[in-house]
Amino acid sequence: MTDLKDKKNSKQSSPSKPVKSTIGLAATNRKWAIASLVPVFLLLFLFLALPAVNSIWLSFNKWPGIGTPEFIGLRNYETLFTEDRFAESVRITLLYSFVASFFIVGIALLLAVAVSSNLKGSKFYRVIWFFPGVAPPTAVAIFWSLSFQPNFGAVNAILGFFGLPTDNQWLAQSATVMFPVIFVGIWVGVGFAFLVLLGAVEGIDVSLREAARIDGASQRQQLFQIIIPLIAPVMFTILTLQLIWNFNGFNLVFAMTQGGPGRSSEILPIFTYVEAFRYGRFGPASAAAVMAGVFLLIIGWLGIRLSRSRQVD
Amino acid sequence: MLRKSNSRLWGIAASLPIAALVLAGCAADAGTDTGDALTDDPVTLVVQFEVPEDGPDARAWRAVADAFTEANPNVTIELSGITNEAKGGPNLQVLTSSEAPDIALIPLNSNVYTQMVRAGELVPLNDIFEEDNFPTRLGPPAAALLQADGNYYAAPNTVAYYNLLWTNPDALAAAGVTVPENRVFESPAALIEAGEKCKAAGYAGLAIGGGTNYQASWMFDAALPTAVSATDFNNYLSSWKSNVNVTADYTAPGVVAALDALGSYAAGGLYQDGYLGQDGPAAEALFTTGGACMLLSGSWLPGGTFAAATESGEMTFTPSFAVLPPVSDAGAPSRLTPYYGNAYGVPKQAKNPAWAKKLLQYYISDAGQLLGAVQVGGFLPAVTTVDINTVDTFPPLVKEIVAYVAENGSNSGWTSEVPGAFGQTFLNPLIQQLQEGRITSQEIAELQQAELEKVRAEG
Repeated sequence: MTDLKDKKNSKQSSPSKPVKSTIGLAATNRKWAIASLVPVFLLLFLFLALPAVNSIWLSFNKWPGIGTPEFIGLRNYETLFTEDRFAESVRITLLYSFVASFFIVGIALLLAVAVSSNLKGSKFYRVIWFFPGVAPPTAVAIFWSLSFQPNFGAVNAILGFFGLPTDNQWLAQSATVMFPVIFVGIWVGVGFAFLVLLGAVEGIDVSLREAARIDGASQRQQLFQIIIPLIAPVMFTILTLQLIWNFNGFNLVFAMTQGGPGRSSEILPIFTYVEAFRYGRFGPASAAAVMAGVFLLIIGWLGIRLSRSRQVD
Repeated sequence: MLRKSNSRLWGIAASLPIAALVLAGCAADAGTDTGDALTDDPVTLVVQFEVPEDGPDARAWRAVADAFTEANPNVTIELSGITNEAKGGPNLQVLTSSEAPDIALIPLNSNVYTQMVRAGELVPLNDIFEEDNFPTRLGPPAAALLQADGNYYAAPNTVAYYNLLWTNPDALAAAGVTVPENRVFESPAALIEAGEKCKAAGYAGLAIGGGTNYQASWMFDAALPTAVSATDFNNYLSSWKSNVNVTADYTAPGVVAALDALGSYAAGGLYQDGYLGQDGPAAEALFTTGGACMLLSGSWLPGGTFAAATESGEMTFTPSFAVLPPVSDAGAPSRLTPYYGNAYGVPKQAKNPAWAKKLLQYYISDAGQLLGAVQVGGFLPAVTTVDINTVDTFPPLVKEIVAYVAENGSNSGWTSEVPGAFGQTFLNPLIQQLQEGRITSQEIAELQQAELEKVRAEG
């Protein structure tokens, strides 16, 4: 803004020749600025727009992964909408991503508030709670898959210590397989959310919380009436990110269950993978990916709107 | 002038990246040999193998590569590892790209093989097959390799027998289970009863990797040929092709009976706890540590897992083997199932197809089979002209299996011969649902029949 004003002033007050020269310089700078953006746009086009457009185009074609695609209009979408397997996959994906994401944000918030309240050993907890977030998802999946096994798994051993049954077969039953998967998703996701929310909580003016405390506000009142309203934009942002990440959480779920038993943990990314690479049906796989992408765009847009609407000075 | 300068600037800016891409393309092309002929020029061949890096497949290929490069000093061979999961799916994109290896690992029952043959993306191997009389040396499986266009596109380098029940004689004795003298359990009920006795004695009956995308359907391969007539079985193996008449329906009582048997094993508690959430190595570990009476696996274990477990002291017993029971008297006797599926081919995109074929020809020659597959890999050779009994280091248990097959024969595996998208990939999750009691055998049979009609209609 200041630059523009300066330019305007200089145009009014300076002699004609230097004005021309300044305009020329600005125009050259602008040209170079635009030219230097070309590689960026080219990369974005090559690695973002082109694959996205290609996916959308493939979703209207029959293509086994090789050869020339055959245009079939909306048939892939019709197939998906009439298949129980796709509907079930959407249901499982929504269950996993929403439950895991809300728990992640809730637990991360509580941890952030606790650590920011100068809890004893809070420096230690900052590091410890972040560790799961940096572990490779496949390693995490293998560790937890073994831990949830009946008879020899650590989880059953711990339950046995408390006198509870030790032959639970969570990963082997359709009715229970999503519980350990969601649990591990939360375990992995809390660390990052915790760090971000901790930063937001610690960014709140200390005097506000001090004043509330002096006025007799309980911890609960401080949480709901001061902390949450003030960090709401960050919370919505992190919730949106978690929803997107968990919705796309292929590695963890695939390494834990491969989508089974049967298809009871086949989230949409696994559905897409199986359709494309095991069945050689890239058309329906692309259609599923396009629908998932549109859904996530809506989630992202809602998240940004909610985040902006909650911003407080 | 300004407009002209602007457009020139835009032109330069826009053309720079394009020029860079073109130059990069030219640079890549400049180093590419057409590879259609054998020359003495330095050549680097890239060969795919199945991981792990220190596994028998890698060791076998290294031995073959060393022998080949000794005879052909201008050739350098680089091995490129690929996972079990990738070889049957995502590998398709690699094999059809400019980065395709010279020799590709292509499971014959995978979508990769089906699509590459259909699209003409594999180099015919007829010349090297004829030169060394490979089809005759391979035996009956050669017929399945021959495509409708009269070409061979892939060469198996080993054969493995699966649906083998490895037994722990100590555990079976403790449980009071006697394996029949002919090694075949009499009926599904007899196998379930053996499992119950094992359980009562503190062992798991039969350990399986029920969470994998193949073991549930393996057992269907064992059950189906025993439950239907030979004519019907042959039709099940080929009726997915639209030019073959369908004479056997998947809803026939034999197919349902075969599925029923698999359901009854699960309902009868034959498997270890939590088997649907466990993979192959977990089941193997349970068996080698003495926790299960039996293990569903194949002839490759003595040279690999068993050898390692015995060496580490984890496995303290000497295993033996048994065979799954027949479902009924309607079909063939129950036998082991051969798998020739891990075949190798030369992609059209290979940079040195002539040298690739030469190397493959060496591996499937008797000398290459003996060195790579048998002596170093510990595998059974794909060809019948190599006698494993002459190799002292070969696992005696595998020799026993070969002798057993020579005496009793083997039954083709349905999931090994029909395309994966129609067979294993489709059926395996349904059998897992059957094992959980969430679907009936009849419903699966109907779904398989519907899939057959869909596959035939869509070509």
